[in-house]
Amino acid sequence: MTSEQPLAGLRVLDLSTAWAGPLAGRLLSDFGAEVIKIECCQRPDIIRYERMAEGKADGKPWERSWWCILNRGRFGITLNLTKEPAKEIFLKLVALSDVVIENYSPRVMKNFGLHYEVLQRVNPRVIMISMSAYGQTGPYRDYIGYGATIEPVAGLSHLAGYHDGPPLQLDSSIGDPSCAFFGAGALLAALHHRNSTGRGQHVDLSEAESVMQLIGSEIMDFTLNGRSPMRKGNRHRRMAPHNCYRCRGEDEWVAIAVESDEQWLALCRVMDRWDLATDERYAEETHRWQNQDILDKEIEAWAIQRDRSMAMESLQAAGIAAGPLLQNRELFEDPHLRARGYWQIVEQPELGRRPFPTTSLKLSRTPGSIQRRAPTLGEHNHYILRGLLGLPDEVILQLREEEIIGEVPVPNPVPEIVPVSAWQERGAVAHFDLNYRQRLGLV
Amino acid sequence: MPEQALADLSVLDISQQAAGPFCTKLLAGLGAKVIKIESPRGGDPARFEGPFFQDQPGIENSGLFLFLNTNKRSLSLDITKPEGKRIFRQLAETADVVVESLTPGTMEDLGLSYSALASLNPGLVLTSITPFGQTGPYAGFAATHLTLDAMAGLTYLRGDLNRQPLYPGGFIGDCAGGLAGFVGTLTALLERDRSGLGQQVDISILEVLLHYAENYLILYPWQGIVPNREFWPSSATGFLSCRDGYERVSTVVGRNSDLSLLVERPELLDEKFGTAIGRTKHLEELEAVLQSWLAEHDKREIFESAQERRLPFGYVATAEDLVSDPQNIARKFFIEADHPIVGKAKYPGPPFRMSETPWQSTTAAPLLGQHTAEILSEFLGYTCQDLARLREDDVI
Repeated sequence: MTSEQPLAGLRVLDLSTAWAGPLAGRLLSDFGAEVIKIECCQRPDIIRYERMAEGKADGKPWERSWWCILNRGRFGITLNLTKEPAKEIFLKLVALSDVVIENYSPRVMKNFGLHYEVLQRVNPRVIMISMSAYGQTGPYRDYIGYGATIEPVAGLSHLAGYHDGPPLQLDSSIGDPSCAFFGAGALLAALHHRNSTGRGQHVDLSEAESVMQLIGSEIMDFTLNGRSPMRKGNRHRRMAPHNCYRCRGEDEWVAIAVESDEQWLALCRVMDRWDLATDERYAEETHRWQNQDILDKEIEAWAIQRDRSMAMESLQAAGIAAGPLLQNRELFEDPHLRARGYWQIVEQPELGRRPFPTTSLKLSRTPGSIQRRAPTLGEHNHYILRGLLGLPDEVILQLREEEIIGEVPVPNPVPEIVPVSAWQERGAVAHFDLNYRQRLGLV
Repeated sequence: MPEQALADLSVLDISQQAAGPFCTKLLAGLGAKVIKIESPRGGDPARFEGPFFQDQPGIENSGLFLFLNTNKRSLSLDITKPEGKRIFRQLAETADVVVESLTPGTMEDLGLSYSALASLNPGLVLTSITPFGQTGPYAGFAATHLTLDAMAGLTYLRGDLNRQPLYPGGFIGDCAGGLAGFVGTLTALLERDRSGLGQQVDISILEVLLHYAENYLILYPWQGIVPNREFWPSSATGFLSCRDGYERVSTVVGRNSDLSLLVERPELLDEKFGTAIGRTKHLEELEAVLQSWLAEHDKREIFESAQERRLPFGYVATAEDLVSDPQNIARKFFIEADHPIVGKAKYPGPPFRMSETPWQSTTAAPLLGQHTAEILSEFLGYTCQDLARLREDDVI
């Protein structure tokens, strides 16, 4: 007997753009929700233009790679919500939907006349989530923020970096993906509650407030002790040694974290350093912590002679937490991730076969799956407007003529993409593999 | 009094450290009744992690533990002992969720595998949060946030090219894993609302961290690019120092005139700074121009002036700044709770607000075993004599 997917039968209208909102939608579509992405030809989702796909799709710079990854699993329509007919259509869709996801600046939905109070009148069961940078209220409510600019305001950036350096650029944003998970969680909790009451509600998710949760313990140092923690490189509050160590090879490293005195002795055995194992200066964790600069040098001397994978193996065999610093391409070849079935090959029109992440939420009886590939701009206009809403062809034609719906961006400057050569000039590219398709088995 | 979204749920939490407890903190905040089961000697190892109240290590003084375990009750119970296991099974019969973070295989060794629990309670959701998941060649390997960040391809991208790469610090990775556990648990519960059946939710913190790395992972299978630590977005210049700290300056396409007006530097109108490529090529020069103005202004003032001009800057806040931040104050984000040992303290409030089902008001983390008698008499009708006997046998 095949079980129905957990969210089968739920319909989600996704007005969001960029990373956090669409990822929240993806977490729902992976488990069977029907997600309808609603974009606007006048301003398509900025993510459509991010990250080129080598070779193809230059004729359509709005169908690029990151769009395909983030927005898989959903249908796509376009609606220019500044126009009355589009608003009416949207409200018709709300009447048939369970969830609305939006991440506009707080005044926007109100300006459209499509804020929660209006949606609720059309459908008292609808659950709306408003994901904004700083929240629906307060002095910063109209401030603009992206994951990378919200992280510093939420206190994360201050805590990361060398002890003698500026805050760290957390290039891969922490704020946006965590906000997506918080958003999905909020929606699921609201749906659970609705199962017993039949009522929807409005969720106000401030990315800053959600992201502050991740550094709660560090904030407690101030609320308990009146002291703000400072950045300290790879140092841990308690564990020592705890750092990344250079290995043999070009820019190759292994991360090692010694969690206990027993693991310290095990590390000394692996490194064949009885002198360190019997040195009283390092027997106790607090002493190791104080002397970690010295200990780091000893470990560096050991690591530099070894391949990082061999280092990991011998340390893991001794029960020590260690892992190589992997580069992006190695993750596609990683034996553990392959065994876990994490990557799945998906075909995109004109862009060919690429490995996609499946899901990190492994449910044993009703597993998640990639429902469909990401939609091209306005791909399902007809399917939704005619098929779901029953609008006649003349109406759809009229909408197209008035540029309320469409399949091509209304002339807009295409955001500039920095070419690979510029990155290479800055020394920012470790490798550039022209044969990546062969390496990944895509051809 | 409006009810909480998950008020009908009960959770048995045998997880430890940060990931599992963060998951159950969120469930408890939404109203689920969470019983935290800790070993009678020492309890959750997170109790031994700082920052400590007044720098005094002690099992009731851990800032990490206090933050992660709000709104939970503590039952001290040794589930490795036959009597402890029996009590656990009895509690599991009527629980909705069990959350655990033991090395894969341990639950099976204890006779508490998913199938064993499901035969007691077919509607039970078992959420297992571990570094690498329940299966695969690395299942059971030792790991911490540092090593998982490395294996997820993230650490390699951070820091200076000629120094050791950096992880972001704290317990961010663990909390990300717990957060995924929260979403997975709720997904399984929604399915159960329909089918009446539970299942196991297997969370690998490594896989969760891959979501965080996605925008860099995809550079390879779409373009063949392996970036290193010098690679960063073209739309921002990064962190620049200002008079009282640091500012994240964001340059936006087509907005150079606003930027130039903000920092009172007409040289920014030069067309070499007008494009993403130009800004990448002339990054150091751009930063130097900005730096000269920033040095004369304070971070919050810069933040507010820039935002008034619709420039998406961000100021680098310390913990102290967070507590005094005008937005956090206006939103009443920090909430005070009282604790028997550390007294009254402020805690970060809810991650989101729900209009119909508000977040649970914050109760401070429990003392070790604080609710043992209460829970065992409430659920299993144990008397004082029963409890005395269990204590003698070191079960509770």
